[in-house]
Amino acid sequence: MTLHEFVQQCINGLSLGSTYALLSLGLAMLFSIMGLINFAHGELLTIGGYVMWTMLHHDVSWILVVPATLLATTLAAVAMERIAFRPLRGASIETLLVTSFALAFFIQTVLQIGVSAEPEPIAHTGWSDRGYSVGPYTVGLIQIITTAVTFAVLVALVVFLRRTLLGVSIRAAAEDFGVVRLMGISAGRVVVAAFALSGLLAGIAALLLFASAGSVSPTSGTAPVVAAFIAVVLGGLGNLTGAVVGGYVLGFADQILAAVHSGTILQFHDAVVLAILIGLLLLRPQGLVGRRQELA
Amino acid sequence: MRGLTARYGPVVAVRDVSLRVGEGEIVALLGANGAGKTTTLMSIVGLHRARTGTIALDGEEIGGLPPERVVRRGVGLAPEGRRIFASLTVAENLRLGAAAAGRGRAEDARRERLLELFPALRERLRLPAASLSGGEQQQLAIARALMPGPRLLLLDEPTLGLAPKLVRLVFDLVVRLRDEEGVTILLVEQNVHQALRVSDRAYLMRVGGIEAEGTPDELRRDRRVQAAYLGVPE
Amino acid sequence: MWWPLRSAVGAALVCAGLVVVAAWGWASGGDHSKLTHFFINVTIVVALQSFSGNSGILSFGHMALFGAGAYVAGILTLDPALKSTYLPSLPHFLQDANPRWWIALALAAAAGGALALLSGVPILRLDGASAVIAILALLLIADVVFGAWTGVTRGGAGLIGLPPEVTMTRALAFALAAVVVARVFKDSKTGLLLRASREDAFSAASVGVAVRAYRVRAWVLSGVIAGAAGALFAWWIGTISPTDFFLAPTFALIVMFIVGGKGTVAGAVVGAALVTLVQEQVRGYEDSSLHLGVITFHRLTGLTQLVLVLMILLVMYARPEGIVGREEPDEAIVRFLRGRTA
Repeated sequence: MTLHEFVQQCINGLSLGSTYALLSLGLAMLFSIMGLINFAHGELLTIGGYVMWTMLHHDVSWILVVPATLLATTLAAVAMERIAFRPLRGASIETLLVTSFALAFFIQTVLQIGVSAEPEPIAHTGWSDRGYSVGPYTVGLIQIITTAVTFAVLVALVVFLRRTLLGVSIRAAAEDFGVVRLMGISAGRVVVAAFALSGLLAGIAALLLFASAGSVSPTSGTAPVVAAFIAVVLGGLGNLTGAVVGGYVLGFADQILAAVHSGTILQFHDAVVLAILIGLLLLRPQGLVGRRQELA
Repeated sequence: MRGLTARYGPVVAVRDVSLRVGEGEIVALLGANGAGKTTTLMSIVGLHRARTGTIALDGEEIGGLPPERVVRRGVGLAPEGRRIFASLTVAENLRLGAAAAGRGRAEDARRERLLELFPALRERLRLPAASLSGGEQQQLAIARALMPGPRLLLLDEPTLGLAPKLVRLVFDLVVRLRDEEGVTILLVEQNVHQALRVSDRAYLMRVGGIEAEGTPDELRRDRRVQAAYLGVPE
Repeated sequence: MWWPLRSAVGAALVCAGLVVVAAWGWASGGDHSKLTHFFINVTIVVALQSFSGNSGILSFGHMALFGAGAYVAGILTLDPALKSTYLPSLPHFLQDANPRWWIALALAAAAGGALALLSGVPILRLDGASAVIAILALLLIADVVFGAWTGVTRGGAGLIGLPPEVTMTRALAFALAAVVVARVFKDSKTGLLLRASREDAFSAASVGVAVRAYRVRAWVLSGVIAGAAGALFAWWIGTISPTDFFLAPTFALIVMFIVGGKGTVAGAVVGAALVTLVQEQVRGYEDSSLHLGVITFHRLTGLTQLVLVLMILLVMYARPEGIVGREEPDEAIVRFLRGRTA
């Protein structure tokens, strides 16, 4: 691989990593607080995609599509918490996992039956295909937007988590949920906030993803959530910073390895990444970024 | 007269326990490991649901309320093992502590007062709580519980694992809190000597029930207390 | 009575049930495909039960073991003429191989066991929650390998034209064997100790050596049964591809496991029965459309899955221990009788 290709793939990796980072953040947030791996997180993405399709199909302007999609995914996440997970408060991890798995399939099949099992095209507006040349490299407009938006979101999130009481509560809950209640802070409120946040992040990711993807189908969410899951584990389960780092590492790795892959063993690069994952879990359970947690 | 009565039926850990804490008192709850002291405190604050019995604060029933509400009624708990938020800064820990009382001028004033009491924390406000020493973490746990200005403070083994000099410091602090801040304190301790030194009254728990109660002098003479801690046969 | 014999007798009730179903099938004649499917499902869910039911670690990765067995059996038994067309890069000894079905099945079971051993030793050192994640990662790895190793598996295109080596009788035989083995294992020292250690192991920061060894044993046994089931599946369905071993089938398997009752072998069988029923009967409706007043659903794709979702949600909210509950039926009967005579 030439240097030129490498740099080009890094540029691509940046925007891919951004999408992964957004998704894995949402996943990590829920995991850190509840120990819940929400398989249905991918479906939040799909719901966002379908809302986009419906609106664009009816020629609604993007100015409305953006807030509508974000609202839809956030509400969907809050609904998930209220309907599916709250009744199971205090249940075993196993039960929560199976429920989230079932929920994912439930949403998929509802979309299959309600809309269609076939992919629906998402109208491409002219600007989403535009690209620019920077020296010998090409950068797509959508890639620039993705990366820029992700950075902005990350900054906003850091401010939220540091400055607001709710944000600090979420961070505290990620560390020790029981004691947060001793602070007079409603546990329920923290959980709902975390779900809402994860829904919002999924909505942003949906907008960025489907703007360039071209179509949405009921199973659109599966591959991204698998990638997000890998990123979360890479970064250290439940570690928010780690999830972001994991997302970018995975984005870069995917792009570079995919470009090199044809005909070589690197066709299996996904499997290799996953095997590395298992190794990480064994050797460094706190992930690439995490600190050794004091066991309370 | 502020009073706290707690009566529990046959919960596995705690059996038919009755306590009273008067306003402005320091009451010690003594007993060996597993006697049910922590469970008692947990039940008072609502982290543990008592099977039977009533818990009243100043005449108001608080048994059965979730911890969020109990704390807002004016009860603070510095739990066993400190359980500070290690990944958050000292300032953030304190801020969370104040959440029960709401934002505003009062919070800032209380924080100032607490930082006077705990000067070590003032120096480390921006540092992550994980970087504090054991003694400082204990101070943080207590300060955090005091942030909302509770009427009743529950301390669960505040000197566990601390060096002797720090142990004295914590107990002196407890007295100061009562004298200067007017906080009523229920103190669970294994350190009998120091606990009896500072408290107005004490209870001895054994295997889930109250075995003895009285003033420090009475308990020092009580052979059951000696037996519980020193292994002296009854 | 020697304890394995007692367990086998205990399993007799469930086995009798399976034989009755088969007998009904013989009597009614016709195509036994659905019943064969049922017996294959019994085998695979019993495999899952013998690991997850005893260790308390929910495995999302059994389809990896199942798939490994399926592909091994498929590659071995595919007609050599077809093999040279589809899989030209296979090494010669595999190209020319055309073993008897039971040899292929034994190898498939061995493959499942080997994969289980290879993966289990590292993975099962982790504490419960991390192990679940690692096993899920195993599923993902298998999916990638099945899809990318085109020289061996033909990737996404899949293996087609697999010989119909499985009959209802053979499937029944393996289902019966699986039930007995799982039951004997459950009542064995390893099984008992695993169940006893469930609570502790999950919360332990590091897993004790003994517990790990027991878990690996359960996982390998589970892998062997799953591999065998995979072979039967490959021959029953005739065409296999990576999607047959990924998330949707994993979900169906989990539904079987949970709905029947994860603590018992009988529960696994009941779960398999319910799910197979749904899979076989509801599938027919998927192409039809539904008119509900103003709304029309043109194609009810995924109806099967929807029913499965509703089943499992219902069980989890209303009766988490499953339909059969915590005791094997023979244990319940014995307890009832003892209560009577006491």
